[in-house]
Amino acid sequence: MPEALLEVRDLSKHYTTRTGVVKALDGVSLEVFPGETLAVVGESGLGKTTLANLILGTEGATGGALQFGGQPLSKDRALELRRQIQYVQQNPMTTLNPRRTIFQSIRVPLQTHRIATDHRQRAAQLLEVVGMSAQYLDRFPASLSGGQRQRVAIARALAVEPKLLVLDEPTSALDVSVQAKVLALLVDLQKQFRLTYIFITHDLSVVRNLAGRVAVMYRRKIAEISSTPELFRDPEHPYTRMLISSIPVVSEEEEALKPQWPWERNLALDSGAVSQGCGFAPRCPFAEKACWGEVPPLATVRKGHQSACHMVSGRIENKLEAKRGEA
Amino acid sequence: MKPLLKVSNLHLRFKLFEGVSHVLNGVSLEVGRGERVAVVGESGCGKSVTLRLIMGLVQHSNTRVEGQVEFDGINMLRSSTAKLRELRGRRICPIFQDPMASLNPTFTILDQMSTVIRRGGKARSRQEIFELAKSALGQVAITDPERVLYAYPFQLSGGLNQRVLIAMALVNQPDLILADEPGTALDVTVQEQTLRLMRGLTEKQGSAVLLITHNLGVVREFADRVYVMYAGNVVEEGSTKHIFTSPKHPYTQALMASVPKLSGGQLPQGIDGFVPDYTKPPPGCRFHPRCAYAREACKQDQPLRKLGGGHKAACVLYEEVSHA
Repeated sequence: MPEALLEVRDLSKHYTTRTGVVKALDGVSLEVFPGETLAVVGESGLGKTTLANLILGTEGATGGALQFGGQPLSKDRALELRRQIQYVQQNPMTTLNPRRTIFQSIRVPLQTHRIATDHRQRAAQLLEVVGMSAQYLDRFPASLSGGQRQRVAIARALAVEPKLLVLDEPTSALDVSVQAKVLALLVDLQKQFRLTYIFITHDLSVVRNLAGRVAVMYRRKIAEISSTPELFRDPEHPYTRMLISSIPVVSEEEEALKPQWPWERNLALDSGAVSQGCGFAPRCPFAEKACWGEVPPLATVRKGHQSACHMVSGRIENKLEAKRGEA
Repeated sequence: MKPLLKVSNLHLRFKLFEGVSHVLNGVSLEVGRGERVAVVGESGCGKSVTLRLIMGLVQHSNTRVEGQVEFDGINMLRSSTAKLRELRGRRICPIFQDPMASLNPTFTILDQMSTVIRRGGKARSRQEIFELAKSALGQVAITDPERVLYAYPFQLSGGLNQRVLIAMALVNQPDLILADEPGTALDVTVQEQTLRLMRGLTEKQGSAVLLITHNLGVVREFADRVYVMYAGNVVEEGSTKHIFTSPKHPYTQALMASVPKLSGGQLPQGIDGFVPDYTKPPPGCRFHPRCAYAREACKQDQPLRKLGGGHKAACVLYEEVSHA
């Protein structure tokens, strides 16, 4: 195993509000290896973006620690560390300042990190890298399409030669025909510049095609983490299984690849039931008493595949396994 | 049998500073009684504005509309506002994309459902309205309707709000439901359930649905028949099975190929080029500047050519097929 580029240890982020403590992220651990793409998937409000914020240092953690290339990574970090981790946001309509030209936007990170080159030349070169011509340098974002803006955002992130790119839903606001182009670009850039990606998304079809490993999050914790083919073939956590079975697909062949989910999807979701144990228990058709009371640990299924479910750790009977046996 | 909704040769032009933007270029579509029809296309292809025209919601001084929209024998484009009002909310009900933006945050769900129920005229007294609202919420699998009825939209999750909207659209048992990207603002597991509910309930009530979406997977799981739109034209129509197993129009094929596959492997290709500027659209087939099969004849307008079994494609490639 190569040395991890980024290590996340037991990371937590709790917000104290007037009505009590809100846990946005609770005891998350994972590793990101150089050159890989780790997808972080899950539905909205499950802590994906909080994780990104902590990695980027826009917020400080309330527990746990981050390490980047062996160095501790806190909220207050050296400029050099900040340079190595860059960010591409979700919405291409709001990610660029409308009053700045493309050149002015791309120049900002070059100035911040005091990179002494000809900024204009470097910006033109960056645009070329993302498949745009230098004639766009003096245009404003308003005259660019969504796909083009996202390319500019990627160019800006690459300007300071980062090692790690955090991509927060980079294509979810784009049409499929444009999304395909941007994804292809990301794959290409990764090879060209040996980048490491943390790819945050809710779109599992994209994950299947892009990521080497996937971390599935549910309710501020990691539910399952595995290599991509294995996760899609053998999802161990009921939530992962439900999630994959919900993807709308466009062909019969893909339909056949989805795991079956004959159970209800939203069990007691609106009853406001809160579980002291597994966050998924209120929606899980297999939940037993233990699930409501004890937090399931992240148990190893196979090498490189871990799942936080009492059925995996053997605490309760694995009814999914039985179901799979029948099929 | 006459279709419930018949849109024929609909043109829409907006007068802008830059010139005249020809947004809909002769759109024709039909929805039969109880049928589930989807219109699919990428952003800016004119699918949402078509839906708005059907409901009579596009009325600005800078627009010019040609063509016909007929709902159950009623000419929607020539009807008075009063007449349209009578239809909307009773016989035609919309479900819009963003559940948070569709509900008024300053009124409770009960207030908002009451308004809709009063329009329908099925219940008059407060008690009746309350009971009807409660049973409508029960139908969309809301387990504690009373709590939801007394809540404000911001106190409920997106999925719950979406289900409230579906309940509202269905409560007056309309003939036609116009759904603009329902559930796309929601998570996949909730979206799946939303579609399932919509399918089950409309089937039970016999309501027809015109669904507008950019998500091909959703179309495949929901619709009986599909219209594919590109840049203000219907480029292909047919049964869901036809469209998904053998798409004919090069645009439909390219669109299908752009969807990332669950089987993994090769990344999709995407489509080169851009959607045309509607003030200066290319002549003839509006897709030809981006099309791999483009030829001289593409600069002429291409009618929808019949390919058998109700499958039609507006492409020169099928000229011979349609003659035979």
